Amino acid sequence: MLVYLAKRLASLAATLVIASVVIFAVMEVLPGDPAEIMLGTNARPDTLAALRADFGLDRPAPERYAAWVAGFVQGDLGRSYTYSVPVGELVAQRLWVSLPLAAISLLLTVLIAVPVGALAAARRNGPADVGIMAATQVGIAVPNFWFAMLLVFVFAVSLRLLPAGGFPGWGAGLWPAGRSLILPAVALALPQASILARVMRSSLIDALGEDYVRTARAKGLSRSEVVRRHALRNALIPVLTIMGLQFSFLLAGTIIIENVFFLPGLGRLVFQAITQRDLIVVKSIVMLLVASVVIVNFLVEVAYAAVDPRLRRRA
Amino acid sequence: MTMFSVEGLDLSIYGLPILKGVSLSVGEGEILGLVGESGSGKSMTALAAMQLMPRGAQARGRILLDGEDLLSKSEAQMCALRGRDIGMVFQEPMTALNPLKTIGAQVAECFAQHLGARRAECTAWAGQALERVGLPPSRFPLDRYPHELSGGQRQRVVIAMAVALKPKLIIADEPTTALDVTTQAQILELMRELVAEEGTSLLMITHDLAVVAEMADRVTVMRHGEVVEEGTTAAFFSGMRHPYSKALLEASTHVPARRKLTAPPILPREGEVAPHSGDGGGGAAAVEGTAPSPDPTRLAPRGASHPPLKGRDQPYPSPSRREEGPGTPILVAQSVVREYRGRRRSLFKAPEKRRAVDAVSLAVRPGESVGLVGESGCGKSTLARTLMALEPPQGGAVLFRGRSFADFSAADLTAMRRAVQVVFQDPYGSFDPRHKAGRLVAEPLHLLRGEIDAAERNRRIAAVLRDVGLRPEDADKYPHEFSGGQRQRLAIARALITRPALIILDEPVSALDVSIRAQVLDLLADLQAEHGLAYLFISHDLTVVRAITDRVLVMRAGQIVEEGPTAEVFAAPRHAYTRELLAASPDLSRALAARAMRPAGAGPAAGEVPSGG
Repeated sequence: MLVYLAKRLASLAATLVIASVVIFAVMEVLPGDPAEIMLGTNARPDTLAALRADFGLDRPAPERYAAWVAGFVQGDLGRSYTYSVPVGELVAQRLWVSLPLAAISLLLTVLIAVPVGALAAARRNGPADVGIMAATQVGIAVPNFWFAMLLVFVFAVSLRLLPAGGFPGWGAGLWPAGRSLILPAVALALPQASILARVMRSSLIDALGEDYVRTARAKGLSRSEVVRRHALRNALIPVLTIMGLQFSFLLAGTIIIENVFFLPGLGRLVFQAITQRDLIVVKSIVMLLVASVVIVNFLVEVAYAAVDPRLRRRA
Repeated sequence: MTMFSVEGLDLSIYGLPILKGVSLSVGEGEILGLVGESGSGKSMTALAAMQLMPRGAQARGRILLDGEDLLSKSEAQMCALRGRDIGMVFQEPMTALNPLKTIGAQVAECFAQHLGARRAECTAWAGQALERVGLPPSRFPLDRYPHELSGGQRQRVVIAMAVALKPKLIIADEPTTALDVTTQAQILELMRELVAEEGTSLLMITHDLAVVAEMADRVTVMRHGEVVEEGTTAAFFSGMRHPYSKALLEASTHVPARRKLTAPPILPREGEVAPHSGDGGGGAAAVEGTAPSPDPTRLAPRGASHPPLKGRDQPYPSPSRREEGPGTPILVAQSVVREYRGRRRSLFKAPEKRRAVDAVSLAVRPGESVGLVGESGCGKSTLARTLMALEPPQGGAVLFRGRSFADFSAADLTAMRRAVQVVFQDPYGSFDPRHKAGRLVAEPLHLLRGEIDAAERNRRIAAVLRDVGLRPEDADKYPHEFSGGQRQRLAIARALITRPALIILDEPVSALDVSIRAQVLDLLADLQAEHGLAYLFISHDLTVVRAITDRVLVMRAGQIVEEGPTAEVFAAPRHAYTRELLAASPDLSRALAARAMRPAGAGPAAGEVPSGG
């Protein structure tokens, strides 16, 4: 078990190092000089040079990479070119919007997908299964921002139950802040849940065809007892894999959804930073997103070991 | 008194009739052997009794357990009955247990389900149940997971679940087919004991007449969903009436007529096949070909002194003498060692090495048929991969026509692969389902590097298909359009197409029904005589090896423990392990002789203490 985790941790670290190099290199290659963007095209060359020196942009690339990584590890993400505030502060504020949003969506995804997929598998080829399969097909085909608009139209404009957008901040209280995250989270979760429900269904159908299910039935377990006690846990292993992969889609989805709902999250920050060539912000946020995806996948690996004794090793 | 009976059972799946008027009965404390080949409906009969039929199944008739009709029971009533009154043991122990639950929890579930007892109580009972099947919790803690047990041990767990609540009837569907012979003997012994202790009725489904002869009180034979014959075991084997029963018996003990020269086989020179004569080597082969008669000396209990050696005036041939034999062997293994990296015990120590093949030497000469026998995990397939140059040995050398693989160029390797072909166990798994038979069969022709044109290629495909008893037109069919036996014929055709000198056959008939198996063995014997082929026949099935090989090597834990002419090794095994294998493997004539000797009603002598496979 420890060896297994140590190996996973090592590959996690390697992934992060490679990702940091790629992110840094891509930012180097992209056109656009931050100093020019900040001072405008009419700025005098010596002012530009001074600003570049101030940000350290005149030093060679390897040196800047080393400084960036060293700062990143110590929690110093540098200063934003456009906002002139530490990137760390900027990100920390936004994180408190994006992180709950992603967490709620992931939770919703699982809460919708697992029971729905299990129901479809248990009622295979029945009306419930056919209905669920049709609904998930729609869920996969329709993009999340369109869902977002539909949800706003129904729940905010017509029913006036939930806000159409904006975020009052956690200072306004748990419920006022939380309720403004509900619609975005649902919009994000629905397409992911549709995919996951289908995975759950086919995985459970496979598990129900296994020999041990027949053995359990021969012991006198009813059909639903077999699903609950034997098949479900076996079916969860592929579901976990897909869930880990979906997390990155979820993060990418926040960029669009936060813009649709005017949420001051990381997604919107990175979108603005790209348009304003605020490369230090882009670099740092992308690196943070990569790290979170890698960590989530690590947690999935740990979950595998928790679910499947074959991955654990007796000491 | 009848405990379980099936009366006029008709079963159809989506309107397709599967069972037609099946009737059978099992008395209290009786063992009924239900015999038939795949597709005969014997497993479906068992599933109907459990009311665990596949979708779309419709059953009519009566299935009575202790006077109650199971077909009229509701699903809830059946759930209460399954596991409590009927226990079931399945064929595949490797997959029959839930991989994510401990064996203790899975056995305890039986008690929890039917007795509604508290968890601690159920766990204690589970420990007792496992103890009864030879898995005492002191050596096999309840928190073991199935993957930590061997196949035989897993089957014991399944049996523990089946007998946990002392059911009235146990249905065992091919319970030992997937197991090694020594494990099979232990499991059969265990089932016999449990049934005798509790007076439980046992419905034993099997394709193996030898197992039936050893175990059953009565026999029912099924074919195409119908019962064709039934009777007491003794009466059944002494006077079969139905032609199918007779055919089944003939196929089970079939020994292909091998057109074998008493002189040594045809020998090649420089890769060419040329006749040659000499002395020694093949002499023992003349003994082969006669059906092994029930040898009364083999009924002696294990550990008795060797039976006298008959028909042999020479001492056991020593390896050095064999090396001097005539002709260049096609393939020679010299002290081949294959190692795998094992588990790393500590981060700072080198991982321990596991020796799968330990200093194995063997030689296959032209026209000769060599058997390699051993149980699963003994290293025989690893050895085969090394002999095919698919994996390099870590020690020793493999020589093809006198030259080591280690010195081979790519062209040499191609030449070797042309001369040494292979046939695997699972005919379906070794074919790409999207390729037609013609293309599949022609696959090895790429080894000829464009020596032949398209017309010659097609001629060869047609020729090999005819050789193996298929029609040239079959080249346009896909693998799924062939039956299991035909697919194995295709695999043999594929091996033949490069006109090899040696074919390595890795369990070529293990997946086949006995009648098909007999046909394929006949085909192999014919092809050998026709083309002067040499075979290296790898199998765990001693009956098959005895039927088709001249020489045999017995492998255990990576080492060859005994080798010699097949007839001699089988008649007078010298190594304890060979004797153990022979004693454990079900043998029809021996089982019948033993049955005739023991007084009615008495069980066979209790044998070994189960060590758990």
